Parts: sequence; structure tokens; C-alpha cells
Amino acid sequence: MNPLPVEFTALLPLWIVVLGALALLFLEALLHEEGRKVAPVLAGTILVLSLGGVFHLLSLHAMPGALFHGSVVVDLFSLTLQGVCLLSALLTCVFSASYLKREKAVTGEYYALLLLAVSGMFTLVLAGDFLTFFVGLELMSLAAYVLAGYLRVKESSTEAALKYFTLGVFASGFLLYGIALLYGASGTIHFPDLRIFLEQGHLSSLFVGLGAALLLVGLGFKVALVPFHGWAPDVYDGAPAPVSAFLSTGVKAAAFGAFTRLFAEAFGLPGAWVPALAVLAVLTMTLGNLGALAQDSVKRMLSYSSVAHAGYLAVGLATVSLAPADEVERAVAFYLLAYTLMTAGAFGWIAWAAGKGEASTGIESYKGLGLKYPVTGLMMALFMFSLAGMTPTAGFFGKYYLFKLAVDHGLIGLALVGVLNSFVSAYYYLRVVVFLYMKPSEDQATAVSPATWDLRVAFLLCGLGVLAVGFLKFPF
Amino acid sequence: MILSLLIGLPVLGAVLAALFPQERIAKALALLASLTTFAFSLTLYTGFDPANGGFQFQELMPLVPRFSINYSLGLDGLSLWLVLLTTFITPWVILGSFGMIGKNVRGFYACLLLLESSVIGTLASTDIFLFYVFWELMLIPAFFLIGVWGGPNRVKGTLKFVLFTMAGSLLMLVALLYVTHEVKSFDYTKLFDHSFPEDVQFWCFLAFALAFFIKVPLFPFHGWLPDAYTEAPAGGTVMLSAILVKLGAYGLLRFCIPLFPEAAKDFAPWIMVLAVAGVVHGALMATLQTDFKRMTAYSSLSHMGLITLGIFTFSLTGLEGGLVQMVGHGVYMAGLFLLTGMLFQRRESHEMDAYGGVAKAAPLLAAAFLWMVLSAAGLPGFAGFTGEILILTSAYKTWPLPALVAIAGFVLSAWYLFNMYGKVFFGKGKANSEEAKNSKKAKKEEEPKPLADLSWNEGLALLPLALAALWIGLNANFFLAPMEKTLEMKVIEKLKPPPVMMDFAAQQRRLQDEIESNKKTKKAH
Repeated sequence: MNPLPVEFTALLPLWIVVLGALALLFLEALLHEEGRKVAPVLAGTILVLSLGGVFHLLSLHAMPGALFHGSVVVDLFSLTLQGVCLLSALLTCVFSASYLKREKAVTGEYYALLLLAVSGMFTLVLAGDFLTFFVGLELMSLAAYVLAGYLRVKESSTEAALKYFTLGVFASGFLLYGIALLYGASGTIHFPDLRIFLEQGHLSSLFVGLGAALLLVGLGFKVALVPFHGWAPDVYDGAPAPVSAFLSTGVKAAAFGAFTRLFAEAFGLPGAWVPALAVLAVLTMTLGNLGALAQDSVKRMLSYSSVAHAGYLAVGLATVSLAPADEVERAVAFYLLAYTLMTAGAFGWIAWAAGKGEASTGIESYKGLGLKYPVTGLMMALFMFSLAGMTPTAGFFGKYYLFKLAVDHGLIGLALVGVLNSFVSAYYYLRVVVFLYMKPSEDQATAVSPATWDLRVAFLLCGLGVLAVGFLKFPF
Repeated sequence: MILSLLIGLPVLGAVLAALFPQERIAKALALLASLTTFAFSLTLYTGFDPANGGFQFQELMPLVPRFSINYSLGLDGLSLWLVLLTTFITPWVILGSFGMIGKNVRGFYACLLLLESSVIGTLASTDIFLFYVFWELMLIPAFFLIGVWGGPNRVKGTLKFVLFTMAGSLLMLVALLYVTHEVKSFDYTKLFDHSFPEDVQFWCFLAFALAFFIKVPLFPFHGWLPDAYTEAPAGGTVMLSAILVKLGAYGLLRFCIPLFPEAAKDFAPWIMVLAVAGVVHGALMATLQTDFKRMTAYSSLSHMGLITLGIFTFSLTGLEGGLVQMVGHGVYMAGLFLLTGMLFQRRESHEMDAYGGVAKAAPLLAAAFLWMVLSAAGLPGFAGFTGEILILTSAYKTWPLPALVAIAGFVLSAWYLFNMYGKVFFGKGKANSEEAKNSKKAKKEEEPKPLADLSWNEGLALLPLALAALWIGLNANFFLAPMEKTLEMKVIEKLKPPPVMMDFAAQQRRLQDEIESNKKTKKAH
């Protein structure tokens, strides 16, 4: 017999990360200098352990399901997203280690904050009711605000943190108000109960509609859907590049996971969601891509492209009231995995290639880098091909599943807008490859030192992941 | 397993070529890989049963089981010659490029081999999803081939090529999603058996056809062609003109016409007009060029228009002519573009005026060039003739007026080709003219060096192409026999009025399926 209660084993990944985060905080206080050296290794180990826990749970035949009276749901979707968040955090750990050393900003609390954010993300994707949802979101966001402003002597970093914080708190206000309205109307905070009440149709439609709209706006802010995206390019551009990798992948994935869970399971009724989400999707894809098209800084281009990718995800989300919940969740989870591999890889690459103080993020400064560093350069080219959605990369499969969902449920127009957008995006992604390989390099301008072995391993893993993920057999 | 082998061998060769630090070994490995691939591909011909119009050499393996996407390969009369063309051309491109590539040599050969592999994969896929994966995959090596090793405007050329092609393929993707959703399968034979309602056929035909028209390219979708062909390195141009563009025509034959026959019939007259417009436009543009690579590019466009014309006559002769012309066009365009590359390598220019009197300095090169020009001009007994005559006669029977215009375009092609040949190989050229001589007196060092004749690798690369050009011209039946059955069963039957053909075709396939499943069960026992 299993001596441990299921509440413990099913949430093991979360326990590991929470305890790890606290341990790292104390380590910093107790050991000072020595602690700083081991912090990244320790954080990485904790994340790997937690990932092991996720894999173990994924391999179980029966999912634990709802725990703590439905406050927490451990199923394929939440486990997959935990895996995605861990992947993002692990990559960030690797990218940060050499980045912080180069920027002379090594402290232990950085990694503690990273783990705290991860525990918030876990809570968020596990949430089965509004309370857990909100606690997770705030835990994640608070840690993320600090991380964005981590290089506090750098103006752009501080600005990013301030913007992120102000608008994030604003969005939280929307969310909280929406939750309050829904609770007032229904008397419940559990997603499934709310769904039952909605199906019975006893609730005041004014309060429910208003509450749900506020939730949509709040979540729209968190995942940066146009027109609530204003903060995203500045924050991703201003934050230290490894943190941008984390914010644009892990944090976004968790928020998207909760978004999908909430709308698929609580509001997944035939109703007004299709046009509303479809409009958001079209706006987000188009404006994100147009913004990215105009950029000369690759980091800023990636920031806008990350907005555009939220738009592709919203195409899948738009089918939420037409398709079965698990179909939407699968497509979204797969896309988030693919997106994390390629976007985190690309931001990590920038963290390396931009050099000291992120001096050279302009596309001009990457001339000829692909030929100078064949393997590392090729990986960046792979990320770009994948982001553009070219076969046989993960980006293609991800888009394929999302658009398939839309076409299968009659939203052909939306899928058309989606592919036209990915055509536009191909131009600016390929432009990076053009500079990497097809422009003669200027010798003294790009004095990037070769990537250290840990960075190379991380890039290679991302690259191989991008190539293989579409063909792997997934439990979901 | 033979088809997987043909896809895998070039990839292996590419990886090895990229990994070996010595360029000589990388070159040799690339050549070896492509030659082995060619040798293995010969078993396709010997093992091919011409009486069977269905897929042969089939392979099946689940790829994404949840969506029932399979790694399923097969070959029939439509794809057989194109696969053989690909495996045949690649080694000579590699051999011919030995002296031409100055930088990043290993990457160049790796890209060539990856391109070969993805082309074979595209041709051999019998799962439409797999087809799409390979179809788009072709863009990546081609993108690098043009962009890294191309001429001065290579970035423009490569971006145009990739973006044009992507625009078409992405719309095809949506149609593909829709079609597979309707049929609930990615299997080509299942899609083939399904008959779609008229309006679906209309839109899906347009979406699929756009992707293939851009690839062919059909006038007016050819915007990418002149720049991409001219800027690509000679080896890349050969891969583009001899092989890649054929896949557009292949896609029309494989998907557009059999899956959406009603729409194809409705669109056929329009497409024939566009095809003829392409023949004439290409020919006229070619006569205007002073740059002989660009001229050859336009002539390639003009000849591809002829292939489209043949296909959309929907008669067996026209279709056969189209397929034979694809092979012939592949062979002589490979020869012509390799030769242009060899000339360029000798004098760093594509301008006709920069040459003149080459025939005296390099008689072998001149002879080889003449051989290919004769084939391209459609002299009886050479590669261009067979397909051309089949296409034009069947087009004339279907619709005389466009056929006559196309003939005019083709006569023009003989004129500009010989004109160019005369200028480059016999003419005086600017370098030899009085004016140039006067200025040369002032600057002695600018006098062009006498041109060297073909080197061993160039000669060896051209010889098989020259022989093949003759072989296609003399022995057309050899090529026609294996494709006949497939064309009848997969294209012509589909275009006949529905009730008769559905039963017949479906029955035959059902029988075949039964036989195969029997075989499988036997094997299992």
C-alpha cells in the first residue's frame, strides 16, 4: 500500500519546487558567496527532480484528478503544462548562469525567485477554483515583476519592471472584480459547479456576462492579447534576455493554461465567446506580426512575435465553445510546448549573442554569425524556421493542430487569417537567417565569445526538441 | 524499404559531408552518397510493374497515431520517372559543382543532398500530410543554396523564391485541412475515392492549384523565377529548374486533377490560356535578354508552360507528353545551367558580350553546349522533341488556336537559343571588338585570359546528361510504357463522367487492396 496520501504524491512536483525555493533563500542568507556559486546548480537540480515527478505522474494510467475538494486538478493538461513551465525554467537557469556572470549580477535570490515563480505557475495551472487560481497568479506575477527588474541599475530593466507591475496589478484588479461578480451571482468558486449553474441557466446573465468579460480582459492582459498587449513588447525587450525567455514562455504558458482551463471548463458553452475570441485572435496575430515586421532589434522583434503567437493560440481558444474541452486543451498544450522550445531558445540565443550589457541586439550585429559558429548558428536558424511554422519543426505541428481545430469546427476564415499571418511572419524570421548566413561578416564589430558548453547543450536540446517534438508520441 | 533508403541515403551523405573537416573528403562523400542513391534507384525501374497502375514499393508506418497520420510511401507511373530524374541529376550536379563553390563547401553539398532527399520524399509520399511536410521541407535547403552561395542579389532571389512558394503552400494547407477533415483520412487513396461537392471542389482546386502554379510556375505567378534562377549558384539553378519546378506539375497531376476533377474541367480552358501566355511571355522575354543565364531562365519558364498545356489537354497523349517533357526538360536544363555555370566560372560574367569565340578556345565545352541547345530547341532525335510533339499535337486536337500560338513560341525558342549560342561561341564579343582592343592597348592587364576547356569533372558530369538527352529523344517508348496505366487509371478515368468511372476505378482499387491485405496476412503467418 502507498503510505503517502495522494494529496502529497500527486502534488510532488509542486512540493519539490516550493521547498527548493525556500531552501535557496536560506542558502543565500547562510552561505553568502559560496551559496551564489552553487545556486544555479541547485536550482537546476530541483527543477530536474520536479520534472522527474511530472514524468512519473504522466506515466500513471489513472490521473489523480480533483483533489482538496476540487481546488486542485491533476490531469494530463495540468501535468503537461507543469512540464512546459519546468522546461522553460530549466532553460532560463542555464541561460541565466552565464548571463549573470557576464553582467556581474550574480545573487542567490534570483534563482529562489525563479522557483517561486514556478510554484506560482504550478498553482495556477492546477487550479480548479477561483481562489487557487488567483493565489497562483499573484505568486507567479510578483516573482516575475522582480525578475523583470532584476538588473536594477539598468534603466530599461527598471522601466520594464515598472510597466509590468503597473499593468499587471491593473489586470489583477479586473480579474478579482470578475471573480467577485461571478461569486456573487452563483455562490460558488469551483469551475465545474459554475458550469453546472450556467447550464441550468438560473444565473443572472448580467452579472455572469460582466464577470466573464472582466475575466477575459484580465487574462487578455496577462497573456498579452491585442488590445491588452501594450506592455508586452517593452517588458520582453527591456528585461534581461534570460528573464524575457522565462516571461514569454513559462509565465505565458501558465497563464494560457489557466485561460484555457477556465474557458473550456467553466464557460465552454455555446455563446458569444466565438466571435469575441476570434476578433481578439485576428487582432493579436495581425498587430503582433505587423509590429515585429518593423523591428530592427531581434530582441524586440521576438517580443512582438511573442504577441503574435498568443494570437495563434487564441485561434485554438476561439473554438472553446464548439470543440470538446480536451481537444482544445491538447492543441493548446502542444503549441505551448513547441512555443517554449523555440522562443526560449531564441531569447537564450540573444542573451548569448548580444554580448556584454546586451549591447548588440540589432539584426545588423549578427551578420555572418551562422557561418562563424556553425552549430550555435544553425540552432538559431532552426528556432526561426520553427517560429515561422515551416515543416518539419515543432512550430509547424503546433500551428497545424490549432488551425485544424479551427477548420474542423467551421472557423475556416480564422484559419485563413492565421496562415496569412504566418506568411507575413516568415519574412521577418527568415530575415534573421539571412543576416546569420547571407551577409558578409564585419570582423571587429561582432566580438562575441564562443558559447560555453552549458549554453551549447541548452541550444542543442532546444534545437533537437524543435525537430523531434512533432513526431514524438505524447500521452495527451 | 527501397523508398526509405532513397530518402535516407542522401541525408546520411549530407550529415557526413557536413561533419568531415576536409573539403575534398566531403565532396567525395557527397558524390558517393548521390551515386549510391542513383544506383539503388535503378532497382525501382527494374522492379516496377507497368501493368499495375496503383502504388508499388509501398511502406507504411504510423507517424502521429492520434491523427492517423502515417509515414506511407509508394510509387506509381506518375512519380517513377521524376524520382529517377532526381536521383539521376543530383550526382552530376555535385560533380559539376566541384570547381565552382569557393566558400563553405561542405554546407553546399549537404544542402544539395538534403534537397534531393526532400524531393524524393515529396514524390514518394502517399499520405497527404507527409507530402506537405516534405513539400515545405524542400524550401529550407533551397533557401540556403540560393542565399549563401548565390550571386550578388542572392538575398532578394532567395527571399522571393521562399516567400512566393510559402504563400501558395499555406493556402494549400488550409484546403488540405478541410479536405482531410471531410474524408477523415490523410491517405491518398481514400482522398482519391472520395468525390467532393462542386463548390468544395472549386475552392480546394484553387487553393491547391495556386501552390502548384507558383511552383511550376504558371504565368503570371512566375515573379520569383528570373531572380531565383539567375542569383542561384549553377548547382542550385539546376536543382530548381530541372527538379523542383517539376514538382508543381506533379502536384497538379497527383492532387488537383484527380481530387477535384469537375473543377479541373471548369478551369482547364483558363489554365491552357495562361500556359500559352507563359510560353509566349517566356520566349519573348528570353529574346530580350543580354544575360545568357537569365535568358535560359526565361526559356525554362517558356518550356514549363508547354508542360502545363499538355497536362490540361486531359488526353493521354498530352499527359504523356507532359511527363516525358518533364524528364527531358530536366535533363537538358540541367545541362544548360551547368554549362552556364562553367562559363561563368571561367570569366565571372553572364553577359553574352563578355564572351565570343569560345568555340575556338574550348571546343569540347562548345560541343556540349551545342548538344544541349539542340535538345532544348526540340530538334528531332533529342530530348526536347518527343514531349513537345506529343503535347502540341494533343493540344491542337483539343483546342487549335492556343496550340498554334504555343508553336510560334516554340519556334522563337530555337531562334533565341541559336542566337545566344552564336554570340557566345562564335561572335566577336565586346572583348574582341575594335573598341575593346583600343582600350586594351591602354590597359593590357584587362585582356581576358583564353578560356580553358572542360576539366575532367565537368566532362564527366556532362557526359551522362548528354547521353540521356539523346536517349529520351530516340527511345520515347521506354519512358511512356510505365506511365500509361497510371495515367489512365488515376487521371483520365477520374475525368470521365462520374458513374462509370467511380465504379471501375473503385473496384480495381478494392481488388488491389484485397490482394495486398491477403499478402500481408500471408506474411504475418
